[in-house]
Amino acid sequence: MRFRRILLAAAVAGCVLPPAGARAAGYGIYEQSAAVLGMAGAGTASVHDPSAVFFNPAALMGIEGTRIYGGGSLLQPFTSFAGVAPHPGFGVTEEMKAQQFYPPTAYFTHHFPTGWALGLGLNSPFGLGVDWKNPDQFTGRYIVARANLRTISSSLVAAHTLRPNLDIGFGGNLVYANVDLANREFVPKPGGGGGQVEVANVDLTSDWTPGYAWNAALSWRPGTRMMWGWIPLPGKVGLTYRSRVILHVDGNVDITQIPTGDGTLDAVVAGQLPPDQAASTVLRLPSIAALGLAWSWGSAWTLESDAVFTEWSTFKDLPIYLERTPSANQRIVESYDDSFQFRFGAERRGTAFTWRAGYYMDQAAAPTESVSPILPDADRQGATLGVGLGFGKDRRLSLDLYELALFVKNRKTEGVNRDGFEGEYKSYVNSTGLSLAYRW
Amino acid sequence: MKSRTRIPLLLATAAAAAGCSKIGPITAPALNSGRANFSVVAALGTSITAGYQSGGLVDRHQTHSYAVLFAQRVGAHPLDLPLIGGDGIPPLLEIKRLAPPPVVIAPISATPGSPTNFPLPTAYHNMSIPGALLVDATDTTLYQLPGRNNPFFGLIQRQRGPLALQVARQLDPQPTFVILEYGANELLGPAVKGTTLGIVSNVTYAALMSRTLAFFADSLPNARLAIVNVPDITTIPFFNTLSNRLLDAQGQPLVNPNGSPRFVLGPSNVALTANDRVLLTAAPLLAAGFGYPVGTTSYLSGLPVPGNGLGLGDSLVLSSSEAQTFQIEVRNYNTVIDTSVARRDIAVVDLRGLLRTAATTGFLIQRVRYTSAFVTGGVFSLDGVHPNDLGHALLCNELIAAVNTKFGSNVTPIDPTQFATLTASRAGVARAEPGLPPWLPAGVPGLETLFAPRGLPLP
Repeated sequence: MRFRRILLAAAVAGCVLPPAGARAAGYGIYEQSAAVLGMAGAGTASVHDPSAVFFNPAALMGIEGTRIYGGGSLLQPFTSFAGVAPHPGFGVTEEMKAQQFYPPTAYFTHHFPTGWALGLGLNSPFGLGVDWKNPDQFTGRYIVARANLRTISSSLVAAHTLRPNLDIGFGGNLVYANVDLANREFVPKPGGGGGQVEVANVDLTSDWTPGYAWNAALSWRPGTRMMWGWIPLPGKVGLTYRSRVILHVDGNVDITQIPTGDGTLDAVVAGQLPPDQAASTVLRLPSIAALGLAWSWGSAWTLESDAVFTEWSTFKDLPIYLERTPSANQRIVESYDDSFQFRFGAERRGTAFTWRAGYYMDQAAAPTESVSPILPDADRQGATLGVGLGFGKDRRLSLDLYELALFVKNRKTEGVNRDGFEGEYKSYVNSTGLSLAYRW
Repeated sequence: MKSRTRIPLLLATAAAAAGCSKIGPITAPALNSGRANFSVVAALGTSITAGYQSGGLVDRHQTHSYAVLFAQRVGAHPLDLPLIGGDGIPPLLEIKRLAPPPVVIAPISATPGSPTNFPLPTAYHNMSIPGALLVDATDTTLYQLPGRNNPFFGLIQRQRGPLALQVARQLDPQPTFVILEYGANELLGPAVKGTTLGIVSNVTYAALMSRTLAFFADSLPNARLAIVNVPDITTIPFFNTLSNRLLDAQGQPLVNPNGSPRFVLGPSNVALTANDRVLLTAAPLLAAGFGYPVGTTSYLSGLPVPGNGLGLGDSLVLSSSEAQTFQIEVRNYNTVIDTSVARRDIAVVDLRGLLRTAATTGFLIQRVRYTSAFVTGGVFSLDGVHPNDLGHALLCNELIAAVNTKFGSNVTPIDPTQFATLTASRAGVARAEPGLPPWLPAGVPGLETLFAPRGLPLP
């Protein structure tokens, strides 16, 4: 009973706490199901729990009855930075604050006897959380001191059987996003040979803004096992597409002057700083397409291999429009590249437990010029382990757990960073999660 | 069985521990000088290389000359410099009033500084002399020419022989790397007087360059050289700060009833044209009502002064055609440099490109855009001619880039923000001041002594 209360509290907290922390390339979050993450996210073809609402709505046709599902992940990123010449220079090291994020997941599915199924979902498919230690001394604070992107996506999807071995799914998403971004402003000091002084803290905070997306999916079961030479063809093929979301986000920018100790300069700066005012930006959440191939042996084993394409090229820039002083508008250029993930997972269903393991590799989306303290994107590889178990009558209650160790390749700026902040980033992410589902 | 499970667990733990540990500091790579030898660096050049800023030469900026920064970066033998203490010679300029506009700039004091390293028994490693011409590198004839009136030869050359000869023979150990920077004064001298008369022809410049390079080839056959090319002098603030248009009390241009712009009166009381330039030294006269037609008012000093209808003299204006002449000569000089180094192992430092960038797109440093705008741009010092400490740091990085490319060395660039300073040359805030342009009520003291008189008889 106490365990249930804790789970319920965790689920509620997960829905309320802002999710953040990018765990797929760019600022994507693929941790949307404990069972699928146990297989390193390779679930587009074989997903068999209500997280099909996210991974493949067409697979809802394979999920009997009515089910409710809640869960989430605990993400713990560790990021540090070492500088090189010219700026901030050799010997300089920086570190992000230790943070923990809890992106939530909640799904509901129902299978109608008429050949249709319906699903509802609530999750956080994108997020970013950046908070550098010692923000008053952080050498990259002119770029960013703190940045957060939070999203909440609600989904309504439907699935239908077109042929005995072919199901389709489709639906819509209502995505809410919120961003905040803080950095410091510098100016050359009067009396200086170009030397700078810190004069203001700039903090952009947006409202929660809605955007809309659609999705479509397919689940195909070729039927009797076929071979291609000595290679068995997959027993299940899944295909999912989620459209991009463009959000025009309104908010406010607060500019707080930092006294320099020079009264004349402070007076001049005060006269030149833009006032606090309304501001807006454009957030671009990319489309994602996934193809999964699953092989099953008997009732015990499933292997799956997924290729996931993310249209990161849609993340061209982050413009900041100021309502009252448009001359101070900014455009943070990003120019991301499209990227692929390759995910491989295995599941073994036993009498008491279901064991899962997986591995994936994820291409960096940020070009070298855009690798910055806002988002030190890099190639990454993840290894996962998972376990599932059932409880109660007919094992109607199921619990799934996973653990992900994400090894991020060190990323160097190679002397081409757009903001002249040169060095090498090192990141590591630990992620663990659970889900609890019940079926009627 | 236990050991079989322990091993993967230990491996996983070790991998996780390695992954989540903080990255260690990166140390600079060991210096590889390539085909060059940076153990003893010497420099010969003009006021730029001397570290002259804000109308004077003073130790706190001499030690920030790009040549000194380079020597420090490559770990060269410490440079002996002709240091000048106090407020400098002449006393440097500073901002006397930052706000409200206009910004007012004047000398720090009336007391010149004095040399602090004059008795040095050897030559200086930096033998750059404000106002020096290329001919001065190898020939003493013009140093004390009556009318030249340049105090820096006495302070730096010290009657110890030609500058190049001092560098080659009076330093121990001998230089292994020499920086040459000549050519700007041959053009600036006439230009700051608003004339093209007295320009040293590119033919003469080519002959002198050939003679100088031959001297170093003979005297220091194992030393490597870097030559700083000649900047387009028409891009510097001295020629681009004061508007050629009549301005109102808010610093906005006046227009005729038909909407056409109204220009300042120039030589013979004729209105200037769109591409004519008013020199920074014209500020006191403009503030007094010169250049403004009768019936108009000059607000340059911040106070209303009726226009007197008298045009600015020719020495305070660089006409469009004169500016074009200088631009052509800059190209010619740089062609001479490119031709001269073509058959030699010499690096060329692109000062011209650096200042062109400052005058066009500017440099983004910590998201602050630095430009060649006077006072507010952050690259030039308060005389509107010479780079400030940040400008020298940028030039040092140009030198490093040129040397690495030419000699295959791996010198790492310096961080301009670490070498930019907060004192003395009183640069202004990055964004443009609203309203009237900054000005120097007393002109630019000291500049007139830098440049050789027109028609200097070159040997």
